[in-house]
Amino acid sequence: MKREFEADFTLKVPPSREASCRNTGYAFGGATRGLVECAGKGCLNQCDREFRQSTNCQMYVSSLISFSVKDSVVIFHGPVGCGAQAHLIDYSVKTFGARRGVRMSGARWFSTNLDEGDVIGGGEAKLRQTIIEADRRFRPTAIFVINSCAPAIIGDDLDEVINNVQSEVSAPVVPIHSPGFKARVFSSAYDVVYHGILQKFAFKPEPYLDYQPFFRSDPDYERKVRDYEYQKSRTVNLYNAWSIGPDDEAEIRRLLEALGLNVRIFVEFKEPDEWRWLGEAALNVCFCHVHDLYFVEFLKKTLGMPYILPNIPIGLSATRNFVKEIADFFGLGEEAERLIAKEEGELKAALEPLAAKIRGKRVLISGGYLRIGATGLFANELGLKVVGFRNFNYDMFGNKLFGELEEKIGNVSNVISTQSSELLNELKTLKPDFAISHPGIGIWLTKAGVPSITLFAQRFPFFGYRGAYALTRRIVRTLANPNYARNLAANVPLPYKEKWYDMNPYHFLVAKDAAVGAANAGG
Amino acid sequence: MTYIERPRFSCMLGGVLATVNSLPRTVPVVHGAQGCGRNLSSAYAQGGYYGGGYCNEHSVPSSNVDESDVIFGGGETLAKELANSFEIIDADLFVITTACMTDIIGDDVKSVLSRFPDRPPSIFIETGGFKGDCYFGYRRFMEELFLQYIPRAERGAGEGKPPRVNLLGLLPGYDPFFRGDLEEIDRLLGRLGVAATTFLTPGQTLAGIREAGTAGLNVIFNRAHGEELGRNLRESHGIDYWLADLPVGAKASGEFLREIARRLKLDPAAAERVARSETGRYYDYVERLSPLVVDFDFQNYAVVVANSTNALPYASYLDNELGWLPTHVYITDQLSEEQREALRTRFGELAFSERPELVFETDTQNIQRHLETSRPQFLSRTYYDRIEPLFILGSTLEYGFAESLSGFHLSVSHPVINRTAVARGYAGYNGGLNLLCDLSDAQVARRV
Repeated sequence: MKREFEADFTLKVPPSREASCRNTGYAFGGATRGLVECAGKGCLNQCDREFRQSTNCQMYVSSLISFSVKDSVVIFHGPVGCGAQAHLIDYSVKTFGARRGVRMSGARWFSTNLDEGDVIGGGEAKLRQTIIEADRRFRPTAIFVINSCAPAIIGDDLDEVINNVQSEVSAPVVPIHSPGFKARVFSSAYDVVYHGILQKFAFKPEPYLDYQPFFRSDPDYERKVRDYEYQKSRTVNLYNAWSIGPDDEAEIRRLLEALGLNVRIFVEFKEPDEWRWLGEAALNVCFCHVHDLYFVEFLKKTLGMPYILPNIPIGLSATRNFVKEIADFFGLGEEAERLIAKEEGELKAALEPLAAKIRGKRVLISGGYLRIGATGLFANELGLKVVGFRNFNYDMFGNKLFGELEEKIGNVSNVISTQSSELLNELKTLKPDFAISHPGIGIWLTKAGVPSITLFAQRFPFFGYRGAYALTRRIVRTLANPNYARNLAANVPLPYKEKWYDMNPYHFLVAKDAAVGAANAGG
Repeated sequence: MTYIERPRFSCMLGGVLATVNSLPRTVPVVHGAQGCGRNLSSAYAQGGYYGGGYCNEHSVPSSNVDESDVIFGGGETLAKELANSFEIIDADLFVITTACMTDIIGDDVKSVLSRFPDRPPSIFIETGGFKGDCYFGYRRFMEELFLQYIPRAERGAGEGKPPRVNLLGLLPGYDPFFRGDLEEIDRLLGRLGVAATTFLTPGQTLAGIREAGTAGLNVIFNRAHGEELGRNLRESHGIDYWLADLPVGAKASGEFLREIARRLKLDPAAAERVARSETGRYYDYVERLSPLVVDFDFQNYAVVVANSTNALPYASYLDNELGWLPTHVYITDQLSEEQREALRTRFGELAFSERPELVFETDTQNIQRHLETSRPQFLSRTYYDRIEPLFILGSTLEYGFAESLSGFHLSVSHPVINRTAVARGYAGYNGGLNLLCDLSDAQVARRV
């Protein structure tokens, strides 16, 4: 499948993903083949629904990278409710920073606390005061200003305020244009955050600030330069994200370092000063390119850094491909084959007795498309029966993975939905024994009696061989005793009428375009 | 109003959703962007992990307005959302709310609603987040619930029935222990033969809630918003009100029972009997803990950081019941001068062995800064009067602060991240024991 990505980095605000070259879809009911075809045609974003339920918004998702930048401060520009759930992030940033060997200050944030008067008179003055106070109070490494719906509608000019105040504060102030109503596809947040980052920071180290240049008069000058360039040519940058835990990073680092590569991981749990080293690598690779494609494309355009887009390294074949694609780039294909053979041999022997306990069990997987696709591949490798995928959103950059999935496990139910109504309705036909679900989704399955494992949790490993083993053990553990889900289902009502379960789960989908209708029907 | 570092409350819609999602078989429909329903559900859940709920987070029906709705109006989008919500959602009461963007663009929700003459029982309330905080949202919602859903009682409707009161003023999630509190107060009232509508606890029904109009008294545990709520409900439903402190511990609970008896014209001797038997049981437990308290000198100086509902009752319990010495009471919600004055007045009426300093501060670091500057804790001399031993009753945000002062800490106010609330409450006799238990736990937790 041909993949093309284009972006105009000079725009003030990047378009939402449904409006960008991605044509990302946020509503679809069907099966894998229809989904992949529709994404290929670029018409997936023509599908919508007439009954909707609340879900994540790009405003809040934007805060995840922002909080994970070492010693940053986040300002939620809006009424006091926007960002009100940010207290929970604090321990997470600190704990999982520590597990990476990084001492994080935790989630430090402000609300500009806009009231009715501000909505009439404008919130710019308040934002300016907040930026100055944030800088004075914390001396942060960066101040991320996250815009919300109200100021976007009343026309607060974020960039103007930031440009005017920048000379009065020491921290770079980063505009994050992320009002919730501007994007149905909430992963648009990643483009918006990276857009702010790429406007405000440099990605090349500065002589005498970051390093001592070699002197031409040094008799070893040429050798030193050659050595440095050699090391650089063996250096790969990986890009993490909120959903990626310290064990995940450690596992992939372990595998790549075993091949003799230098591994650097950006942008979370680093401070912006460290980002300047980002340019000193031979290759950019995203752990999960749903997050970072916008940014690595920018680095390619501006610094000429190449990138590759392997799928997220979950399970045997995805990890193999991930390591292999990187190794091939560095001409280390054979070494990688040997490493993988050794690792796979060891893991397969360990998995065998576990897989025997769960073979044939039916699993439903929900969340971000790359992660659920890779998890589905692994579930299939384990001998589980994958009965369906529920993507938060979807676009053509998943087609390679889902094409492979269709080949391996067939044309199973494959939808784009965050709605609990559709999920619960679907259970009657899919009949999963358990589910693997993005946080926030699993509760509805559990209430329906289907035990659910989280699709990611920073405290557990998922990536690579050790992640595969850990995930398998969790599946075995979950299936060994589903009593919690059973008890909950027996005692807790669900909010839908009986008749809803007799209707098509995708009853409320509307095709804005005949092609979409056809693809839906084909599914 | 100014910016706030790490505020401990959310917006008007946040308060309404927290309340609606705690009512039986009641479902909100949010006319707003897709994140409001989900994010604000996560926000109130930070009160001791009060997540879940009949129809919240990824289930909240929400029109999920987008840019074209904002430009051209979201009325049609809402109409479809309402029609389909009414069709498939199993609820006996719908609460239709707005959000910032739909309030700013001025969508006419009432006219959209009028297109559904046969709609199931529903309440409409404008809840743009910028209009106020979650406590204001609670007050406005309860007023609308009474106005739009609870019939005003016929004259003499309560005659021959047991006396009835409504328990108001506690906001789910933002008063993390509201359920345990309400259940305990309900239990105590039951011992006096008084029926209570709690609205928000397990076992409440909408049929029962519709009888709230027959109550003889609204007991409102909220001095910041209670006056207005009480006045408005007296106007709409003719129910008297009483602004009460949440009774925490034996003394406060005894006074609460006596006052209830007085206001409902019940036999004062009966209240006395209940108070005496409850207090007897209470001190049986307290006595068992006393060797620990005495031998290890568990008397502490205390700093209370909490919202206007809980701060004074907790401080009063620490002083009058446990014999501790509160030094500072920080009230963390956003209040008008009038509301502050009401709290100052009440604070002046409460007995303290040594009167603590009462401070209104919403901003997290300013709370710490205030304490450290008003009573410096780190001086370069050998002898100075530190606040030591120190116990901070606050939110999880005060954990690090307590640690830096070598003090103990218990999360009692929003956000409560490092413990769970479940059925725990601090009101009444059982609540007083719970709080004693938790304060002691914090001091023995490291005996491992």
